[in-house]
Amino acid sequence: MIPEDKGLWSRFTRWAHQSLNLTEIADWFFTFTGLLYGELDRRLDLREAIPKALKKPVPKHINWLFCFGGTTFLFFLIQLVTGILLTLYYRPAPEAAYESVRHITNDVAFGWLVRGVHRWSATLMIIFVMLHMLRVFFMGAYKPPRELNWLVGTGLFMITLVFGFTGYLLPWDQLAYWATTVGTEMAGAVPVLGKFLLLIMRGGADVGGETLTRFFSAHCIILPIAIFFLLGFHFVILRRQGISGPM
Amino acid sequence: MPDNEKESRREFLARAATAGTAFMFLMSAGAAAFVAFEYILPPARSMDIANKPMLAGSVSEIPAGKSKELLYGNTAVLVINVKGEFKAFNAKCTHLGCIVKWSESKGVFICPCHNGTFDTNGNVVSGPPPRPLGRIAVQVKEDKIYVGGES
Repeated sequence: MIPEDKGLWSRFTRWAHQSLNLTEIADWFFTFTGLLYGELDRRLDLREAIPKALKKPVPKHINWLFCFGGTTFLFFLIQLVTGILLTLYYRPAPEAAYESVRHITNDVAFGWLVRGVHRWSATLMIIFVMLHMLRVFFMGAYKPPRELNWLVGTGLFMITLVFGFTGYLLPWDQLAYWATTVGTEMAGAVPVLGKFLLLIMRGGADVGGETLTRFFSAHCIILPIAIFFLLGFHFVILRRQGISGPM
Repeated sequence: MPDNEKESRREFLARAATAGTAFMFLMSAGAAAFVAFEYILPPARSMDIANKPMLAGSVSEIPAGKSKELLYGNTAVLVINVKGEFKAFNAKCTHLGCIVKWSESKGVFICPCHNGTFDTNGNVVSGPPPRPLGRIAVQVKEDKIYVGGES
């Protein structure tokens, strides 16, 4: 899979292939620290497991299009880290939310950066999860026996969208307030269940403090737990079935 | 266990205990689910639903072509003066619930969210709203404007 032409990029990738062997680096690290072939291995018998996991061969047919899912996961990890940092200063109450976001943006050291990265990474995560779905769809990677992982992925896609919807309210500015009014009103238009959904989402007749705490709870507790398990399931299934074949 | 073998007392008691425990677990799970569901439903707040006429202001406060925004119970209300006639509407847009504004220069209500417009009778002029604005009763008594209540 090492390109042979003399372009700068291919020379770089060739160098990366030869020099930056992650397997060897990890192997060296664990060996050097004495963890893998020492204390840990004596108790957990990891000597075979870790190199086997790291040395799993990648099929020949994959290309950059296969990176969208992993990129989505990268953005998810960024969201996790920046999101935890934001909760240190964010206060989910109608009197305090906007002021705390202003405080994060203007006063806290690098707060503007943490908030900005969280916001941009959220947008990019949605874009990349869509690209990932398009790749899976057009390469037919959802076909049997991988339908289950497509379903799990659909759940992950919806969770990602709800993450975006709930996070959008948290700055508690005019844009957030009316976007949530409009968005929940749309849920209210669902036949039969609409009024119930609207009440559950808003926690009252109108968007208010109850809506803010509900969305905060969903954004920071319920959805992270849900996505943690679904992501784990997604990856375990992927590992078990392997990457889908060439087109 | 084959049918012809008699169940010993010990076996019977073990099975009864298992069934009883499973039943209690199921009942507890059901009760917990019920409690959680009731907890998630927001309490029906005594939403002081306004049903009596409320003082909206004096006649001189709203000259012809002008409007006044006020809260009637939990409802945002817009009172307008159309050539001396006072009309009041529920300001909640019938499309997706934003609060409409009275545009004096255009003589229509405009919703800032998706540009729905309503005329002075609350009927849809343009944009996505599916229904006219909700009408609210207005009474004028001795230079005072009252909204709500019976029309």
